[in-house]
Amino acid sequence: MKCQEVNELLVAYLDNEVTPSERTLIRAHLAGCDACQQELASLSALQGRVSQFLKVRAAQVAPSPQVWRHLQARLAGEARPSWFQRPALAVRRVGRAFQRRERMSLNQRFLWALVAVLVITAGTMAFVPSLRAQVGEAIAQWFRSEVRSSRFEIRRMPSPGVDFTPLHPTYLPTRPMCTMEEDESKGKAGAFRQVYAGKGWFVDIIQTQSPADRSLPTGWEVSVNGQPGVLNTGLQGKFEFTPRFEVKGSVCSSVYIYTDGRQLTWYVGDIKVVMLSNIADEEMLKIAQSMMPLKEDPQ
Amino acid sequence: MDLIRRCQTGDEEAFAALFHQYKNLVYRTAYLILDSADEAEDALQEVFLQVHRLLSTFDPSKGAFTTWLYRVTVNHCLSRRRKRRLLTVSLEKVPPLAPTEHPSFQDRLENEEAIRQALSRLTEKLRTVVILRYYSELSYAEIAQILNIPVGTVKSRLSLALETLRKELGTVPRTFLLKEVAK
Repeated sequence: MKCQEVNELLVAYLDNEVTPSERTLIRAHLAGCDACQQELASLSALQGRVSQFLKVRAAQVAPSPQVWRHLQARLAGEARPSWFQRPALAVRRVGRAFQRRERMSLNQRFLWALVAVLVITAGTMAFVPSLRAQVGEAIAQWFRSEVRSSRFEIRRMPSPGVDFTPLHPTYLPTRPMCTMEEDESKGKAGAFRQVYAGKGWFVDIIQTQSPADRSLPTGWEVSVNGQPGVLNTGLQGKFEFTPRFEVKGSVCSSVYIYTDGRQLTWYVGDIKVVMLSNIADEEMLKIAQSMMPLKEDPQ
Repeated sequence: MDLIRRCQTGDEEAFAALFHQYKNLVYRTAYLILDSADEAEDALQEVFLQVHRLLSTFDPSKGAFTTWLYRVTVNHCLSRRRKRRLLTVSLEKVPPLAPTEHPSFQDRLENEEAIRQALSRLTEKLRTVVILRYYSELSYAEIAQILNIPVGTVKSRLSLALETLRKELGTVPRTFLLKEVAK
């Protein structure tokens, strides 16, 4: 074996991934070649150091204790498909069944396809009105209503955990990639929280009715639709949430590190609104000014 | 294997046990590939969502569960990385190097930051095989199965990766870096 041939195999030799005959040839060459011995020692030191570096670096980090809770929430969301998601899931299941049945004859495949078409057609014919109602419900519940330029049309379902009609923005600077809403903010009953987020930006809005403390924080005094508000800028921190709806095909982060965050606090009647975001002041004020109580669905 | 079978039947307790058993493997592999703890945490959730959805398709006769899990993890992390874009950092933002310093290969081998930088400059393909081999300690055959490439390609990528690392560590660091940022 020549030096070049040996050098090409040295990494695999050190990793114990050469054949027995290659091993014998490499050993024989190394016994009489100082240059290749040095090369082997150098590669071995490098491998050892890289391995040690990666192991030490990985051992210094661990997932946060909340990650299982977040995953459970997302799994629970997936486990309850809405009526309008069910046909899609059924079609996907049929597709997987076809993939698994590679050995089915052509006639069997045709029979399955015919049955599937008949079932889907009959189901659609029978349930068109209720299907439409369910689609409407899903749209309303998750704010997936039509987005026309940057404005939203939102129709909200009654919220059992909140006694007041929450306000919703009718303006957002760009289309969000994911949203989340919950009726109890940070375990606080009677509070309503909504989050809109996209690539690099988030808006977190928490509303409470008739809070015990009606005072506003100190900061830059602003006016929101004629009502006094306070804007604090230059905030730093980490914002985490569990997205409940993601626009198809997008990757929505659930963690945002912000170094120039803003918090806007103001009242609309007896509802205290606190908005945290990493977008520009003017956009935050525009969102705040666009917030209005939305008509609840009479269902 | 019993745990996997229970998960495949929809046993949620078994799935929780599976998550806790493998969360560090997924999280730490994702952390090394993505070079970000926050992104690794997102990836951990996404990978287990996929595992939950796809576990019924896992066939133990075709390979070990860990190999399958690594495959889901690596594919997710690489797809995440591809969604980032490369951006050059202006020269004034990079700390200037001491002009007289020319550390030896041995010195730089001892230097954590030098190794971190050298690894981060490897291409995605080379870095992935390095992590799977020298962190996860997987065999060439397992790496080949995870990345869906021939064993010979694993061999040549590792050889090239180590050669590149040695060159990086044997020379003075570059005066500018490429930094990957989210879109």
